[in-house]
Amino acid sequence: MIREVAWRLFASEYNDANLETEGTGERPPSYIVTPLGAKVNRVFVVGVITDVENVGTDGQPMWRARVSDPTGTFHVYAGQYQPEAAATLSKLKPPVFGAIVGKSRIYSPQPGTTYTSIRPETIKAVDETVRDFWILEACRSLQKRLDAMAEAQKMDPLTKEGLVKIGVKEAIADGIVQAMNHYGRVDLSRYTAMLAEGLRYLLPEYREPIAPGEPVVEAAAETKKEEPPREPDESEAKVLEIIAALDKDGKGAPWEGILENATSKGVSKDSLEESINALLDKGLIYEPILGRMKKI
Amino acid sequence: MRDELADLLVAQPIEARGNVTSDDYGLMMIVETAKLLKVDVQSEAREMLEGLEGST
Repeated sequence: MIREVAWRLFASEYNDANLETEGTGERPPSYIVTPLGAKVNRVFVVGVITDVENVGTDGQPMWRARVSDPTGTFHVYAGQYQPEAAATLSKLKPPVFGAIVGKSRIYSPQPGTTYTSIRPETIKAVDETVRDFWILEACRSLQKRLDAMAEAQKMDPLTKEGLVKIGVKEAIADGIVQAMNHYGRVDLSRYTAMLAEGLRYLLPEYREPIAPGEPVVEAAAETKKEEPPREPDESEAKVLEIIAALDKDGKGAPWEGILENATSKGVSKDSLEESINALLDKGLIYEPILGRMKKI
Repeated sequence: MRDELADLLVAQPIEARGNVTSDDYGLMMIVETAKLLKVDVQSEAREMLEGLEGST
């Protein structure tokens, strides 16, 4: 079996993905296909590790880390089957620049709801130079997918062979066809803006001035320029209350219970998902293990 | 030793020269010479951004 390449891609594109596919062979690898056609089994990300927490128990720890890049946040989970990565995470003192190689994971507690995360193989503290070079590589990689996807959107019918003929690598062409079939015609301007954002992040003329006394790595972590207010609105407060009430064992409220409870209180599933996403963004809840939500 | 190598090599841009063989596991390179590259990240980013803004 050929070793899967480690994709360099931004958190925002990775977190947009909700398509999982399987390869072929005796032990078929699984892939997450992003809206731009990156067919990801392994990732290589470098960003600011903003927090590390043991969301398991002392006897059976499960370390969860958040890793920020200029576009969003990766969620990394390491437990007993990732002993080296778990040991490294347990010793890190955030905020710190970290390089992570790991396997892509997607979890779908309900149809229509997906959460992407990374199961790390290796984690290493790095410096800002390495992080900046990674951003440049992620930008180059994004540019290639944007160009290929733009060509793909012009094709009728779209075929893998047609893409290969115009110079798109076979592995990328395969992902693009699957992405187009699943996501339809994605809005490329969103990803072009993401690319510009990544590039500007590297240029001092576009960087926000650092406040006196502010640690450099913290300034690097400050990627959310327009952070929403932390106070929950009315429906978010209702959901927050449900999550707190259902978290009886301290391990977080199960998604099924939240949905059931919310429905009985007249909160629709769409509105619930919206509220949960907003609460996650506001840092008022987190996901200790996939499929469970916990109030902070 | 592995940690020491990782400290030197992980995430570093490298130019490697050598012989490549291919088998069921993919490509494998026996490296004869390798050197760390110094990449001017800002210049490359500026150039890419200009290209991007010029095309939109």
